Amino acid sequence: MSRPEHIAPPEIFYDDTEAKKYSSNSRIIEIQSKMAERAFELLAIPQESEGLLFLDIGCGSGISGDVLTDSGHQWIGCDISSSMLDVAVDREVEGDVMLRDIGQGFPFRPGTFDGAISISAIQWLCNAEKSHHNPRKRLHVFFQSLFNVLARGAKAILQFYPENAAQIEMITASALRCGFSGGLLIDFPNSTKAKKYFLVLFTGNNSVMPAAKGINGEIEMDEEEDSNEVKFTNRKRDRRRVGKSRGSALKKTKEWIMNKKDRQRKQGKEVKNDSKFSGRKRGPKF
Amino acid sequence: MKVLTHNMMACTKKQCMGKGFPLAVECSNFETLNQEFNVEFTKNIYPKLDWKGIMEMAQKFNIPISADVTTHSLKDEKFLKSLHHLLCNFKVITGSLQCPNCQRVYPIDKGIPNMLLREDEIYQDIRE
Repeated sequence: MSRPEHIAPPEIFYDDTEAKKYSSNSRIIEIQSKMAERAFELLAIPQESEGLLFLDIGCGSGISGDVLTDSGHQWIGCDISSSMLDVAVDREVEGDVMLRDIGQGFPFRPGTFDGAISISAIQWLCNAEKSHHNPRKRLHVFFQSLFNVLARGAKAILQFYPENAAQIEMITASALRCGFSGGLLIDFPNSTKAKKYFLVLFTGNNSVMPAAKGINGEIEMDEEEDSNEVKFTNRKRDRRRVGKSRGSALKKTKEWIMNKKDRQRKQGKEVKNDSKFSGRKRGPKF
Repeated sequence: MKVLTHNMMACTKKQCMGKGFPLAVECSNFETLNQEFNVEFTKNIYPKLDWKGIMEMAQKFNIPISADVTTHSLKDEKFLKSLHHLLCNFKVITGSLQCPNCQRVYPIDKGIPNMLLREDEIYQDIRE
C-alpha cells in the first residue's frame, strides 16, 4: 500500500490535481462517505437530537461533513490543504471551513463542539515535515486542544491509517495523557482490505466503548473459508485418485517406489535390486 | 466564514489563552445565504455564544438583536429567528480577522480564514 505521508507534506501532496479527485472520483467519494457514516454512527448521537455543532478534523473537500449535514447538524472543518478547501467551497458545502494545521491546535473557544470526527487525517501528525516539527509534541498539542474545544461528555471519533504498531501506541498514549478516555476500535480486524482503525475518545468517564463491526461476521467468513479449503483439498485428493495415469504416482504405492528407485539409479546412488517383494502390500498390523 | 464560526473562534497564540476573542472582523466582501431556520440548533448554540462577538456582528450586518441579555427568551421565535439568521446566513468572503490581544491579523480569502501560525508563534511549551 502506498502511503501519501511518505511522498510529500499534506499541504503539498493535496494540490489541485489531487484535490480534484475528491470531487470527481466516485470511488474515493464512496469510501470517504462510508467511513464518515461509520464514524458518525460511532458518535452514537441519539436520533431525536438535532442541530448540534461538530468539528471535522482534516475536512478536505467536505465529503465527511456532508454526512453531518444530512443528519441535520452544523459543522466547522479544519484542513491544511488550501486546494482541498477550495474544492469544498466549490462544492458549496453547508459547513464552514478554515485553513489550519491541526498540529497547532484548534483556534476555538473551549467547550464549543458537541463532537468531533476525523477521516484519514491524524496519521499525518506522526511525520515531521519541517525542521521544527516534533510529532510527539504536535500530537500532544492536537489532543490537548481537541479536549479543550469539546463540550464535556462529547465524543471524538478519529479514523486513521496507522503505519505500524508504534504509531498506534504513540497516538493512543498521547490521547489518554490529555485526559480522554476510550481506546482503539478495529472494524473487520481479520481482513486486510476492510480493516479500519477508529480512535474512540470520550471527554467524560461514563461512556461505554461501542462494539467493533465485522468480528462475528469475519469468524463466519473464516469458517466458510475453512470449509472451502476442505472442499478444495478433497477435490484435489479425488482428482489424484482418479487421474493416476497422468502426473506423478500416489506416494508409497508400488509405482511410486519403482519410479523413485529408477530415478536414484540414474543419479548414480546405491539402490537395492528390484524383487517380487519391492513395494509389496503389507498385511494388517495389530 | 460564517458569523457562527467567527463567534466560536479564538486566537491560540500562547499569550492569548482566554483573551484572544472575539476577533475583530474587517469585512470587504460578504455573501448572504439562505439556510432554513432551525429552532433546535439555535437553542443548542445559545448558551455557547459569546455576546460581545454577537453584538459586534449584529451591528455590522444591521440585525436587530437586543444587547440586554436579560430580555432574551428562548420561547421568543422572533428573537431566535433573527439570531439564526445572523449566525448562519452571513458569510464573510474576503477580509481579515484581528486578535484583540496580540493584534495578529489572519486574512480571509474566498470565505476561508487562514489560521496557519508561523513557526515562532506555535505554542510548544509542554511537558513530555
